[in-house]
Amino acid sequence: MHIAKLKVRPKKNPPVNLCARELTTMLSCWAASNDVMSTGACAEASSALFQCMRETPFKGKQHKPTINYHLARLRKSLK
Amino acid sequence: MRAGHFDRYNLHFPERRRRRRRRVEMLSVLRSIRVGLPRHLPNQRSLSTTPDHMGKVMRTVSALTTGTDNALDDVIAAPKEEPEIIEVPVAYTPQFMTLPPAEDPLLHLFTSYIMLHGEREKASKTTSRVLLYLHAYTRQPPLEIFRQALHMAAPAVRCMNQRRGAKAIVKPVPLSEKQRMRKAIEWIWEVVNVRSKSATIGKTLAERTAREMIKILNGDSSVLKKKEEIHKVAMANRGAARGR
Repeated sequence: MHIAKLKVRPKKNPPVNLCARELTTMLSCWAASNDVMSTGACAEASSALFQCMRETPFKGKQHKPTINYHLARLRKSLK
Repeated sequence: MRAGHFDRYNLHFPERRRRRRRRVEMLSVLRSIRVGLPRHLPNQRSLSTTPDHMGKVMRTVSALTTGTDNALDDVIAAPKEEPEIIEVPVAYTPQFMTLPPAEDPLLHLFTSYIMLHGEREKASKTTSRVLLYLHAYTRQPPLEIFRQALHMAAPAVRCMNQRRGAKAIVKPVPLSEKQRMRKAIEWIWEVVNVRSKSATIGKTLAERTAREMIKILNGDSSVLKKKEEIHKVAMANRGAARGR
């Protein structure tokens, strides 16, 4: 089989999940108590999330996936 | 002053080049004292510089501006002085003086948002008037009210629309403190810029902003409704929060 140009449409890098644990805690607390404004029951959970966001460093910009480079390079050895 | 323009014009004048070099050196020293600003807006005012450090910097600056080569020697090779212990009959505990930053970071953010065409002075006058009106209406320290109102109005998450194959899903993503504050300011500013008789009372932007903030604290504002909507959508899509 001869493929002239071996190339894929790479999937975008997924956005980073920051403070995932605190976020899910807060959202489940909202669902349980319906305290969406975080004034009563979910005040602690939301403040924990805010504290986590203050401390967590953001990751830098993610590189684009390099699969096409490797496919182009290895295409010669496929034939 | 643009650096490029300066260079091209002053290359012909060696004296100006020398002066510019000294100015650049001075600026680099001054930049080194700038404490790395935190990404968040801290609740407590943070320490910016200590008096000792400032003294050392100013001495270095004056040494550089006079232009002698060995000006920095006394700063580099200064022997550490032993502190003189003075005995006093009464116990004396010196209090630490924490210098607050020049401007509250939240007010700075607010001013930056409302500023147009880079006219910061004009925008900061509006900010000051907002604080004045807040104090006039409530008879309390206005900065705390300002901060409370923004915290109450700020959403905790934003809902990102993502395409997972053919399906469009909504993913709740947490916001940093600066993003949250900015969103709150944006919503308030939207409401306040509409000058209809039914919606808002107040002849000036500052007055309307202050009234809106008090409404937020009382709990009846359209800004709070916006926040609730976003939170409800996030709650409904909480399954997508941890995906990928």
